[in-house]
Amino acid sequence: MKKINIFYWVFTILLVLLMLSSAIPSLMNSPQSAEFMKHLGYPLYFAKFLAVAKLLGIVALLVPGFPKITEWAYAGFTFDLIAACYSFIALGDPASTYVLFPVFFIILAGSYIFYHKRLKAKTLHEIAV
Amino acid sequence: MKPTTIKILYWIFTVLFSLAMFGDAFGGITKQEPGIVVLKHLGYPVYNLPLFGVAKLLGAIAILQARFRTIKEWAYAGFTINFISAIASRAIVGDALQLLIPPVIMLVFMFISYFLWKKYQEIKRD
Repeated sequence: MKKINIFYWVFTILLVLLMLSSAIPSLMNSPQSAEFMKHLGYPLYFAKFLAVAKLLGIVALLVPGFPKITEWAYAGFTFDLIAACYSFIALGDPASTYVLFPVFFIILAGSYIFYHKRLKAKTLHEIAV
Repeated sequence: MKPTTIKILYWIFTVLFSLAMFGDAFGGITKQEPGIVVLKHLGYPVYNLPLFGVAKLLGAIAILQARFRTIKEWAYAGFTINFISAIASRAIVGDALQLLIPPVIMLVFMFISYFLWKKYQEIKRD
């Protein structure tokens, strides 16, 4: 159980940091994030909308007791990563821009897998106790 | 509500919703003009149109099947994100109220299907 918790938190904190690293610059109107969105072809309002969605998703991930909402948050982050990766590839950008995406997917998958392991271990523990 | 009523309503709403999504998916994958026009109007890059089409196709198939519950749950989540984003995009771009209504209707339709799916699962358990 302790190992599951450690793995869960390592992956999940990495995932949260990853999402915050794009959400916070967007909300603070950093010129780099605006330039980035323009390059990908998205409207400026989308950067803010996405940032808010990511923040809500992080809350949904971390608040315990609402398994369906947490599940939907994992789904949302997955779609976000897929769409972001697709945007780079569709534009024909050099591989250096999206080479890190497999790492992001592994972080997301790790958080999801250990989240469910943790849920299962908690319910088994509660049944045993 | 009787169990048979729930089962029938679940299938009606789910099939109707899926048919609508198959239509959208076809439009997206074959890059129909109305889809391109709407995406451009909302400011989004047009290269996303086939991606959305494929996503809707996979989502509609996921919703119609009953075997893989998590994938089905994720499909409902994806459609919800899709419709909420559509409503938000239309509102931000300043579209007239009647253009905001179609995604709202689709969202309501989807939630009825989702709600009935959950009720149907409860019944099957008993």
